[in-house]
Amino acid sequence: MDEQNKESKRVILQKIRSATKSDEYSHKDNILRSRMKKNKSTEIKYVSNLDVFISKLEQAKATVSVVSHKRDIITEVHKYVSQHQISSVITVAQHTDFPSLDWEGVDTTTQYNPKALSTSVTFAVMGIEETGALVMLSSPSSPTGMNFLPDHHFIVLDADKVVKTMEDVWAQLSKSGEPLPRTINLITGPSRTADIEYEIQIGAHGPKSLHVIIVKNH
Amino acid sequence: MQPHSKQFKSNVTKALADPELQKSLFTVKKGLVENRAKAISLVSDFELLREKAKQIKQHTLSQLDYYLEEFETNFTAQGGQLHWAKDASEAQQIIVGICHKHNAKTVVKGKSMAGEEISINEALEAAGIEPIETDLGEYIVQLANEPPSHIIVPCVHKTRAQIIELFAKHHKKYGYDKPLTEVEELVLQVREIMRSKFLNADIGITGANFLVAETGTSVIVTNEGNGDLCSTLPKVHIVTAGLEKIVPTLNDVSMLSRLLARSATGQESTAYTTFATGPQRSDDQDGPEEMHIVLIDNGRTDLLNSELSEMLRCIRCGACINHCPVYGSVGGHAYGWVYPGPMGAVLTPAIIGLEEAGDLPNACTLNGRCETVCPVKIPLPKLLRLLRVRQFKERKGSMIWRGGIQLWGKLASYPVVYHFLVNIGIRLLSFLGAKKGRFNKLLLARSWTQSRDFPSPQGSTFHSQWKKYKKDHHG
Repeated sequence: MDEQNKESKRVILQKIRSATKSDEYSHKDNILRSRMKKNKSTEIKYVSNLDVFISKLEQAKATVSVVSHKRDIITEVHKYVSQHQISSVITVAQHTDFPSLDWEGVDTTTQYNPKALSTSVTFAVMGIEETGALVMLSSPSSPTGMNFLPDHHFIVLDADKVVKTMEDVWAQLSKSGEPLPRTINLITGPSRTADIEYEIQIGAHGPKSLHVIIVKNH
Repeated sequence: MQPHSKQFKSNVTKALADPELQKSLFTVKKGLVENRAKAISLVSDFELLREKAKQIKQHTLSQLDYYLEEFETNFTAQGGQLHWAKDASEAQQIIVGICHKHNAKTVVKGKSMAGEEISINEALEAAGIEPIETDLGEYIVQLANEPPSHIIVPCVHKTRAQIIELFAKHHKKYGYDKPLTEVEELVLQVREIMRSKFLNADIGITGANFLVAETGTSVIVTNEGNGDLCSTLPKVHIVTAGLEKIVPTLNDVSMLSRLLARSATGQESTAYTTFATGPQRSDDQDGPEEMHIVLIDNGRTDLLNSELSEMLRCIRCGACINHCPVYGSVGGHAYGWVYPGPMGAVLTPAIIGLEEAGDLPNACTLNGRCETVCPVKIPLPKLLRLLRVRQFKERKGSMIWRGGIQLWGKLASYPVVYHFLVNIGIRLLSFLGAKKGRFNKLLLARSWTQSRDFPSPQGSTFHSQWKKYKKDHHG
């Protein structure tokens, strides 16, 4: 840390301490760590009926289909692209829950090229019932850009992975003891803006459409 | 940006006479207020959420030094670089320095009020670096060479016709010459123009809605997706954040985010909530190689040490602005600096000083709607009253104003004399106004009657009515 930064930090912290009447040696470390720990929920509440979750997504202008087998993911994507006359190559992320999808009949690639990415398929690790959010983690095989660059975005979600609230997500992710991934995206619907005359317009800088495929009995 | 809050009165006169502005303000105000009311009616106990949110922020502020250091430790452990900035010029220096180190020519920006506060665009331009606003509203005000007029909807003051004209003028150079009419076309055109800018920019700058101490994470809450492209594609990501953005845990973010979107736009949740923790990891195919956070003080520690410290709970949702009758009549530019509405009337004097803030603490009817809707229960009317007291004590404002206040204060401390004089005044006014029922000119109230009529008093004073009521009901 350079000198100026150190000095500014010293000045700022000193002003805070004189305002809050605390000093750097007060024994707050334990008190605050225990608050941070207590703040963690341990029990994770999964949701079995997905009606609310799906309706929240649909309110946010996403489309949703529920399929009963993972091979139906491909059929579903195929159906959607032909219905919407999407002709581009589809960039597919990889996910350990869905290791070997046979994309025969659909033009796909696993090569990530931000400059030519107009349709993508990525995998959510969880869903949140409270907000209809899909939880996306960045990884070498699932770069964040795949969630924001395409015009058309497909997200695949295991039906057993929908939890009640955002707090449940943190409880699940902290189980491994690993630090958080570089990026976590909570996504509810395609991108939007209401900046012009407060008229909601779907498709701002991120995807113009979001189709969610929920896989049951995976 | 250069503050011109001192010209509040003349700004107001201009704003009230601007029919385009009045039209825009009406549409948006109505939409934002109605949407919020609807979103909140769907929550079973919103009051409980407000209380919890208030406690989270209050607790954090009481141990702010600890949480800031905790954040620094965890953020740097993930490879992030934290910069402490005492004021706006230090923050500018740090950011321009990072840009120079990387020979940056262009910077793509997500919306950041802290960035506005430190005039980062002016600083970048002065250093020969092109800042490109990518949020649609911010992009529109940048083209118009204006500051944002609202912290959530930066271009609420612009009508569609004005935006169409702006795009026609500025988008010719990209080969667009067909005149547009629909909102959809306008949005699509900006999307197309912006895409290559995202892909080619050297640096991305965004704000932060929360900084999470326990994990060293920076959180942004957005709808357009531009903020995420800014923080994902360029080689370097810089976050500008006021130091009050810190919260202890991810669970605290969860609680606060239940209030943020509902209070701001009436959404249950925005399209995107993104948690970024440090630069890209080994083997990642995207994400910045460097992640910097500039932690900005700029008057906040002084605020913490004052009777206005509760203002630091603010999560910048804009609900107070949307519900403020003064903002609703005059719009954001009249306030003359970065933050408008009730929160701006408190923050502006706190950051740029009472002298520069001029009349802002008086730009309030003390109707209290702002406090009722504030998701973190900031007593805004009380803070504005405290500022007025301070203003009076420090002898700010015109002689006539201070003399008037002093005279009124004296009179009000002699109830008998006060009631006697008020009674005479009321009778006189109702006699003079009996015919028309209103005044379009009134001595000492020219600024009132300039833009609306003054209703003539009906019957007796509240005080005598109250007396009569008590007598009738309790003998």
